[in-house]
Amino acid sequence: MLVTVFRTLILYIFVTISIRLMGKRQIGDMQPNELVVTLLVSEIAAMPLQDTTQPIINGIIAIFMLVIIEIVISVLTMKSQSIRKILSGHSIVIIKNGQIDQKAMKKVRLTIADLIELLRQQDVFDIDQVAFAVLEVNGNLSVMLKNTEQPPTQKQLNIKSEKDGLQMPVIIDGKVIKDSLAAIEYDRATLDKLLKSSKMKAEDVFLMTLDRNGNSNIVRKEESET
Amino acid sequence: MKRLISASVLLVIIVSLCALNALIVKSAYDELSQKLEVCITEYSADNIAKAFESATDLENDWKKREEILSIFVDHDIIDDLGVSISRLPSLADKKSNTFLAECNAVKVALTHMIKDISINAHTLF
Repeated sequence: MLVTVFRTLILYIFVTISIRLMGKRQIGDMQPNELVVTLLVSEIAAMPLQDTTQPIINGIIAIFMLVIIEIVISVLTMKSQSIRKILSGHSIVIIKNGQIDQKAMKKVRLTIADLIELLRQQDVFDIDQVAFAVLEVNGNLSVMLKNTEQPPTQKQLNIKSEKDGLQMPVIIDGKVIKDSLAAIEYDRATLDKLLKSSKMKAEDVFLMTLDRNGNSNIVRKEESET
Repeated sequence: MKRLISASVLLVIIVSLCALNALIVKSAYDELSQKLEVCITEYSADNIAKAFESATDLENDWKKREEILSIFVDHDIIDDLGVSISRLPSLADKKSNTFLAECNAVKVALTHMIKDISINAHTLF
């Protein structure tokens, strides 16, 4: 029993390192080869866990080998367009000027129900509004609306607005996040001043977000019931 | 570039482990097979005392190597070898065919062990 505990711990460490080395992508964003590697890694990791008669090193070597293959392939696909086409496929235009390309749909085995669902996910309920719809390699549909259907931008309306600043979480559950502070070029003393002006201490804050322009949102910690 | 370096480091680790695996298993196979042959020769020449001595030597050598081998070799083969080798000294002092049969079982298990690390149709497919 204890053997299984230690084997699980060892494999967990190695699988985590491997996934970190492969980079971070959500399952939905994976290229076909990345999905294959992820499925294989999980399968290989499970085998020595279930069967303690197998040396754990066999599993570890297989996982590392898959990571190497994945890294080499990702470098090759970055360098070569043709390798990328072979391994990942390519995006395909499904709708052109409001017209569905039925041949393209057959080619990618996409049903009309699937297409309508993908369009709805992009907040498009009328195919006629679409200038171009492209089915990406990862299965997502990118939609470009016709010019007449696109909402006006602030630039088109001649509206001037303050510069946008990225809101960073600077305090989470009473703890100051130093990296976030550094990212918006703030220091602890300025943060304390801001908190003081709100008559609060960092420990009282559940969540505080702040941007470079000094715009902040503070959520106070709820008092625990005793 | 960083990822390629990590891949290269992993490749070096894998190659080293594979080389270590081959080295350890091959050396264990050679040494144990040689000692097993001595057991069979002595027993066949009716030198029971020497056969017993060789079988004990083989068992001691096995005990030394068992732990390191279990890192690389299937534990079922390790278990089979362990059982068969530990039975040899007790069978060597009796004049029966069981000793030779057990020696044969050890030989088969050793062959399995070395075949499992070599690249051939059996291991690949």
